[in-house]
Amino acid sequence: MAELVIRNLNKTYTKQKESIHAVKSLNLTAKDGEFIAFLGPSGCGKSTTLRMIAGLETITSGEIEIGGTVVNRLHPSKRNVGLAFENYALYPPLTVYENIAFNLRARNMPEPEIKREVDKIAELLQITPLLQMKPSALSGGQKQRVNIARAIVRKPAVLLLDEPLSHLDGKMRQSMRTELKRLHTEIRSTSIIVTHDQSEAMALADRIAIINEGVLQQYGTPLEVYNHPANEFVAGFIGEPPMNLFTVTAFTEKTGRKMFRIDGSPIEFAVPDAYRDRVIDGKPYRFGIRPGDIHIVAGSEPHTLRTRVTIFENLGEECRIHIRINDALLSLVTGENVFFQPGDPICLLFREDRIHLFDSQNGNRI
Amino acid sequence: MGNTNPFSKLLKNAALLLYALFALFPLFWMILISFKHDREMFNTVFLFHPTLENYKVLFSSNEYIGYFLNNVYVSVGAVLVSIVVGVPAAYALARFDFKGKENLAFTFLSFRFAPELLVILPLFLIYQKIGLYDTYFGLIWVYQLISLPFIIWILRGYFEDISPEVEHAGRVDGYSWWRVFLKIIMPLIKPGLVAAALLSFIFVWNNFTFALLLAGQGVITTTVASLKYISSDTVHYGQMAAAVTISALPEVILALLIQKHLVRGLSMGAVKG
Amino acid sequence: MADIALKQVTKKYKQHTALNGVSIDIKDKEFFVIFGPAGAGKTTLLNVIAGIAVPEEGVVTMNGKVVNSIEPEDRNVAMVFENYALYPHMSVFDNIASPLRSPRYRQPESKIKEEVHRVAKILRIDWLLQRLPSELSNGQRQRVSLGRALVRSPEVFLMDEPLTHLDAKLRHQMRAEFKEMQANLNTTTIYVTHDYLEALSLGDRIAVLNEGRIEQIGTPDDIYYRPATEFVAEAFGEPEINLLTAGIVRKGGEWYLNLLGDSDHFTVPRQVKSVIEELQLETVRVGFRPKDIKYSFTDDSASMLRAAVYSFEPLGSKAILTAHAGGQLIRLIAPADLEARPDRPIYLKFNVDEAIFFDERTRRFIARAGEKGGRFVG
Repeated sequence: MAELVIRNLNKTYTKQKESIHAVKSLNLTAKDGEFIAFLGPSGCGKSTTLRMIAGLETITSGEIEIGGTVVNRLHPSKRNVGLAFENYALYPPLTVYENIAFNLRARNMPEPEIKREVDKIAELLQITPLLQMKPSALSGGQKQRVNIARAIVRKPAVLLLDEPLSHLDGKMRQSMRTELKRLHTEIRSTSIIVTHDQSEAMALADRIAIINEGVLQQYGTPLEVYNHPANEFVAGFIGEPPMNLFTVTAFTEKTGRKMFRIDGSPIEFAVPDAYRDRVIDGKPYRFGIRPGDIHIVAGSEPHTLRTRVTIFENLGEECRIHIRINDALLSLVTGENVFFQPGDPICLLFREDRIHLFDSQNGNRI
Repeated sequence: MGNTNPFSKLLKNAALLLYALFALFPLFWMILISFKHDREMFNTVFLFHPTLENYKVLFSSNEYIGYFLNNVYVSVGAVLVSIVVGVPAAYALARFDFKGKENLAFTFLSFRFAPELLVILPLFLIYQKIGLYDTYFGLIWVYQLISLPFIIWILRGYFEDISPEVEHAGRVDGYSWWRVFLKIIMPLIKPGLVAAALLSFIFVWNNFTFALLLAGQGVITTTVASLKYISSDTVHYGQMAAAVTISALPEVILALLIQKHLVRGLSMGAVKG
Repeated sequence: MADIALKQVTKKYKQHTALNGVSIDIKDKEFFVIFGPAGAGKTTLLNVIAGIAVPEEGVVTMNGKVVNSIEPEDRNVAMVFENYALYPHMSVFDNIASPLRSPRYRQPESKIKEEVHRVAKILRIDWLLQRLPSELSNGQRQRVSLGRALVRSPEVFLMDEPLTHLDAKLRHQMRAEFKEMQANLNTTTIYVTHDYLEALSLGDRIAVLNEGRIEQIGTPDDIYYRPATEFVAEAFGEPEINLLTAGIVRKGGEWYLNLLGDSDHFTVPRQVKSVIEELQLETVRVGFRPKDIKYSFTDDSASMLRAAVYSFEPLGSKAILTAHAGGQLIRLIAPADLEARPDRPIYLKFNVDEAIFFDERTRRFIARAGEKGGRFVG
């Protein structure tokens, strides 16, 4: 149980004579008991940061503090962190019980106490029947449970999870995700998960740190990053199906109404009231709307976008409609019972309060 | 993580230089004595009067050229036969699943473990009996022990690196198996084939034991021929060195020509994925 | 243009039976999806049709002719491989041109140039033609391998998980583009996938394969609303369908389901009742799709079941709420901004009229209430 503070953290290293700045001035605080996700595409520096917290990687500059102590110079075993890595293999000749007990034995805990601890953790993770088995006899999901059990049995101040679910197949991944979330509510230790899967980060974390090219893009709750993305990168990275993003140019109609036109297409629609004063004529913007925030309406309403359906998909729970605009597709999702054929006319309305506008140069939210 | 400290760099280079001197010295010494007169042979000073005398003696009769050509026939023949046999064998070991596959593959490799002297006596007797003693074919055949395992083991790795789907794609595209093999598979294994062929060529070319004991006066190779410079009263070190230098030339030239292939070919076959 | 049929096809690899008595009839110009988990035998099935694998038993026919002994190069099929199987030493142009340069489908070089450019334009890879496969991204490689298949007009297209190796966002877009292209293909296509969204979106019909056997063949509508087995029901839909074991409780003329200990409120729907009666079942398995379970934090009506929040996973536009009741986890869909603290009491309302009923012993479909499911076929 401890707060984790990262101050001005930097990491540089040379690879093939090229200097790489993997983590750039990272500042971040995880409160006691919080579940934090480091989310980003591969090679963004999220794993490097995790490894620096664990002490497996040296720190170029900056400070990492766990429970009020700066741990920069502490040996990994002294930092009181628990690790469950994607490829952090179990010791094959040992049984599940011995694997979990390994860390406790290493610090000379008396055997009866070890048994009590292991049994408790095994029950929590529902692996009690597996305790006497060898790792080779376990399924992927079971191995991952044992892996996590081994990490939390020593009651770490900070639990570090590096892509713990990415090797599991779809169904297993989903049920493990639920279990992991539940587990955190029971053990309540400060936890950090590294993942490249945005749905995993959203589902599990109290707060998400979105990292790209070594730079923290946004740090906030799942709802914050979903509803108020700080920039275009976050907007495009969070959400499934992904946000529709188009370049639009503003202009004023003869009637005085401000309009956007999607570049390279005849599609025009009104600038939402909230942005009217801030939008400058002739200037390009990046316009974003989530597939769930586009409504299908009757043609009579104002501000609608009239177009034709290119593709219609019925996916059981929901339907997806795609409209081709230049090289891209405008997609929308609806849970309602609708049916369209390719080529059918359709009228769309963008939910005004859910429109995102980004600067076309630096990508920042307007 | 690269260490850019200039001092450690210097140290590293000095160590490498030292090793290079150590490794190349015998070669250097051999070339040196090939240019020495017999009378200066035992001087250990580096100053001497260079002479081409040894080379002149070597080429004064056609004998040496004959030995050289013998070695070419036998080595090239052995490598060619190995390629013809080894490529399909390596392909089969990589692609097909059959009983005793790993044992078979290991048996090929084990040819390289056994000391040549172990098998030479029975082979000598058999060769005498069936008339292969002192023939080109006899040597080419026995050299398969050396060249075949190389070709099979290096190429097997190459074939395993090519996903079977690539072959399937070729079939579906309308090519027969043979055409797929020639048009798609062969270009992909070329670096490995070149490297394996060159390596086995070098080993065969340098072989002494088989050439000495399984051939008589008919098929003398350069390695065996170097013995001729040891006469009853003296050893013509100068001529011997010249002969050996000449016989090493083809290997050196070949290795330099396909150096790129060689390094890439060997490392690719070994490190998969 | 071809009908393809498999009759009782069995294919073994050593001890492992990859396909076990599979029979399928694929109609001309149909987009036929083969769906199944990893190791179900999907790729083997495609290989059998392509002629790459030869079955031990059964026959494969194309347009009524048995093709078992015909070599792959003579079957006139085009195939897209899961790992793309591009020729690494050839440029994109040469890769796509490869079928048109083969002895079997040879075209003059001028025609090849024209065709390759046409296909590359459709797939938006015309600016990559001079590159080698190693210089392409996964999405681009996938398009090249598609291009190699589309460049000629075969009897049938065989596609082995073409979208699997793309990331989620690209997959969403490529699936839609695929569907757009599919409308113009006009050729029998057999498409293998383990992604149920692809199966529902693209397929005219779907065959669900499990451990080498066919579980069900049907339209997306059949598969989703009338799954033949519990396996099919669980495979289609995310989060997964909730399957509960329920006893049949007979009280006078009314029949009730004993769901999680409550046997007073869940009447067995009329259509289902007759089937249960016929089969003389005492216990059934009832499947509820997550969106067919409603919830409330107050005990509004007697028909609601008390449960506790087990975990709550927001996903942006919606959230997966897992509730714990009677020793069982129940997944349902909730809005993402719900305040659902763990262990908070929650009341669930099961909509029996949307439930799917299975035989408890065989795990096979028996009935569903209502005539739901007309919406897949327009």
